[in-house]
Amino acid sequence: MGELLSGAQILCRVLVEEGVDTIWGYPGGAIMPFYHALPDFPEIRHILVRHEQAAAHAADGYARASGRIGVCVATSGPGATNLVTGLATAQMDSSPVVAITGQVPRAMLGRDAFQETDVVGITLPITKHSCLVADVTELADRMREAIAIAREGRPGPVLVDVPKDVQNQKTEYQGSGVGDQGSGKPGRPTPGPRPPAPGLTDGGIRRAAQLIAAAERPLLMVGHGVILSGAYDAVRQLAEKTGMPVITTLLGISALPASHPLHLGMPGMHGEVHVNRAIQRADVIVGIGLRFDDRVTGNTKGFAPRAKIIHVDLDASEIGKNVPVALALVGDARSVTERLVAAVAPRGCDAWLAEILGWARPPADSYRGDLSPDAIVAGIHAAAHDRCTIVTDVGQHQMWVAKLYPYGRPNTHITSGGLGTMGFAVPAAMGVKLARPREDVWAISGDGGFQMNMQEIATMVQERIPVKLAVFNNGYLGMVRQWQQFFHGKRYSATPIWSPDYVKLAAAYGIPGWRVARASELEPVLARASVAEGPVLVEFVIEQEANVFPMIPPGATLSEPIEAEPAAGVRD
Amino acid sequence: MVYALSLVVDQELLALGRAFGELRRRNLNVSAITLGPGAEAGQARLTVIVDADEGTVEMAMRKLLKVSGVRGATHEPQ
Repeated sequence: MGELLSGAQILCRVLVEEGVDTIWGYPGGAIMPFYHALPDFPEIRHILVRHEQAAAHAADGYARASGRIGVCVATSGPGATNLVTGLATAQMDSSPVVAITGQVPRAMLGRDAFQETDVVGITLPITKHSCLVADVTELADRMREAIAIAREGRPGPVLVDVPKDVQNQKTEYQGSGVGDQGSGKPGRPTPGPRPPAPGLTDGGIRRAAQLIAAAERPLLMVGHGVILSGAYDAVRQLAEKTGMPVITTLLGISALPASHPLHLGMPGMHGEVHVNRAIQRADVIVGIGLRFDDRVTGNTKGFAPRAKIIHVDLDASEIGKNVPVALALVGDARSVTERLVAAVAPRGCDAWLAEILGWARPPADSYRGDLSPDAIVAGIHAAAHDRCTIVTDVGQHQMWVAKLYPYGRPNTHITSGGLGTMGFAVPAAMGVKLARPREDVWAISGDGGFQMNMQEIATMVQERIPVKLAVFNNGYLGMVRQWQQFFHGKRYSATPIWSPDYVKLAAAYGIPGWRVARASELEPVLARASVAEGPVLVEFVIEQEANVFPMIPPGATLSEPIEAEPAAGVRD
Repeated sequence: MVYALSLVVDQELLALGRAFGELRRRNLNVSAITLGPGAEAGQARLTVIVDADEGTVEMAMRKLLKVSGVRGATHEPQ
């Protein structure tokens, strides 16, 4: 005999059994039974956010920083629809987020009831899995299944929608270990150690080793898969054993320390000229845990024209999706890379590396003021040393930080890559901070993205989550303005953006705030922000029309960068 | 080129919806759809006739195999 529990208690119990200790949410009518049960489970800390979107981003940030699942909770209707952007962000960046939504009672389904929305239908294309649980006797199994799906293989978000009456119904609860036996329906494979990928043979590894050995200009490109599988050591060993220079995509940043002699930097739309040129000249590219997305490749017709691509990815559907590959190694990034390390013959690429570094240019200077993005990024690094995680938003500041911050430790750079979600940094940083309480966590945003979710300062204050907030304020939606400058004849339509007085805003929330407008103010302010115990806000007033260079125009290949401000730039 | 895609899908509307969602997202040219019982209880066989090039069909098949509730997928040129 199991215990008699309500659906709401079952949801909490399964979370506890799955090791969840932090959830992010916002109560409302259809999720009230869950919130009624929650105080009986002190193992779970609930963080009340100010908007459900922030709950999803915070759960995502928590998942990325901790390697565990992130859980968010919302009510039906608007609560559920507010999660959508966060779930899509997690889907694009392969983050294991579990969303629990309340739903109107079963008898009201399909009757346009108050706060009814078909959230399972809405989230179908942006989740790995979503379901409505209409039978309380299945709830525990469906919940465990959802968590397993979020974690297993390539991680991703799942959504479990639970009608209010199902949350109130009682049933006998069997502890974990029952798995799918109770439901009588075909179950999914039990999560566990990742099985060896069927497509990965010794022959494939040998062939890869041969291609690397025969290459004159090989490159290693690593992406988020390396972070997700913890393949840092294997990647470093592969690079050092073969001498292959290493390129890190936006989500692969920090997989190899920026100070490593083989580290080249970020490729793609805002990649350095020498990094993109290396791709265009390479004869073999070993791509590990990346999906060759359009921000990396530019026009795929002209991408890496001389290279045979060896693609290592856990997800077979990524192989050949965007670029043709010579050899596919389907499997977990770490296990495949470890096998590659064992199989490759030691070699060097000194001449090739020297050739690439010879193409490097000094950074293009488009800042007229004396407070440059370079100086700000260097200042934050100097204040935080190597004991911090940086969470960035989306836009110009994101590219400056990605290019300039000298990351030293793995997985210390967290950003919204695939979906490019403005408003991500502030709430996601709360999740990162709770996952890494002993580290400084900086949320760096532009003035546009910051204003999308700045209400979460209240959450930080109420829940004592000491995130350090940085706002790059140039009075524009800077990246869009930059595109307007280059591709729309400088017609700055709807990009000038007014900001409140951020120092007063900080004061209104009861946290310290500073405005930095000159380089000379950087060090003293950042020193004070660094040692402050609670949340802090630092506004950096930067040049209004500063640009991110180089830049590959849309539709162009990696060989056609705009490198600097002068006349070179304007194209139709 | 016309292909017949043959999917084994959990017999529930949500799984069918997810599978169709993958086809819809790719804007595939679908000329016929049949749904019948599968070999095992709780499963259905979904056959979809599409007109598309081989690369597009293979990419769609790989994506379909990832869909939660899709248990198997094969394709044959017609």
